[in-house]
Amino acid sequence: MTALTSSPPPAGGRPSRILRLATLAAAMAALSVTGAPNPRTIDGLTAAGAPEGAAGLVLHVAPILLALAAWPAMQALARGRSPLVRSTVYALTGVVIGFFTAVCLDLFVGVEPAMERLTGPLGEAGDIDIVAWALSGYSLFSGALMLAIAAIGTPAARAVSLEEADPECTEVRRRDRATFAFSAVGLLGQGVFVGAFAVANQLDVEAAGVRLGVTGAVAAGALAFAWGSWSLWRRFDEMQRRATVEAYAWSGFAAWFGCMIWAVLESLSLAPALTAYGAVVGLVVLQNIAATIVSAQTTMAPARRLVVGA
Amino acid sequence: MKNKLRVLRAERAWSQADLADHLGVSRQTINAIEVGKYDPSLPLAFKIARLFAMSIEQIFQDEDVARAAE
Repeated sequence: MTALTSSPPPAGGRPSRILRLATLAAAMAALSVTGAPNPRTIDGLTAAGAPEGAAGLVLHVAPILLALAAWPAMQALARGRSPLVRSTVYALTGVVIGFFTAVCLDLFVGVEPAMERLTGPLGEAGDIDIVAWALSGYSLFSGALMLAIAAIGTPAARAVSLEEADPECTEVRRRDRATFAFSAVGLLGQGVFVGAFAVANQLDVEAAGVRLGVTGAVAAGALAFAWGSWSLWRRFDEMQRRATVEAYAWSGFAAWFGCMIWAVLESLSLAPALTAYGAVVGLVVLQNIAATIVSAQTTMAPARRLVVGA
Repeated sequence: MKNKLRVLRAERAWSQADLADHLGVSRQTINAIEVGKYDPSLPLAFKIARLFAMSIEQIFQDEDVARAAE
């Protein structure tokens, strides 16, 4: 029994650490080439003493070095910890890497002109818009990962796995592929509808066609999200359904409590009025956090089963 | 709740996915039951017992009772 729970995976069963880091570096390099640092960030670096001309290069290279250093650091920090601590470490590392990537390459600056070609000029992003953009980026990224696992199967699941585990835990069977595909539909739909919501909120033009198009994107994304979620629910077994219900229960409680606190602060003029758009973005954020925590409690391996960094 | 699912599965040289296919649940659920993170419903417990031709009590044991017996 002990052998089943603690034996390391056979050699060659997983991509090596160097191969995974090289893949990550290649992906980051591709992102770096397509991104464009914000001139204001370059000016800031130059003002801080960086040689002119080198600042841009630093901003292109820094996220790659940061991500490469963060990966083993993240694994070292998570080693031997509880599922909740481990999932928190992974989430925070992702946020830090994502934040510095966005700062260094100003990905949103690249996205905005592309969006404005379709919609016309967008207004300044408010706090809720920034949260919505971040949530949209996270959902689209996670959806793309799920789609890759659904299309490629086990090799993709092992490549993106954050932890070393028994090989059978990362084996993706035919039935699992469909589950990953529906997860991808749900996450991509969530990314589209939340992102389109942010665009709708920042629209400066009053052209009916543009507003209708953005509203259509919100509706299409929401429908894809609902369809993906419903399809997943139909495929889920009793444990997965219980985890889903628990996640919605926790997020519902947190939303109720959060709204009450907000209402008190609003009545004291300490918080701005909460809009329906802000409430939707807040609910989606809470639901995602609750789903991650509940899922970590039931599906992540206990610390004693981990063989991190093998 | 303690259980002998991992031992019974190992005796038959089944993977978690094999057992999951037999029971019509996900591999994650088998893993969660084995490590004690999830207690199956009564219908699923009966299904497991039928599969291994044993009684539920032979497979699942209440931890308080097991502790008292020790």
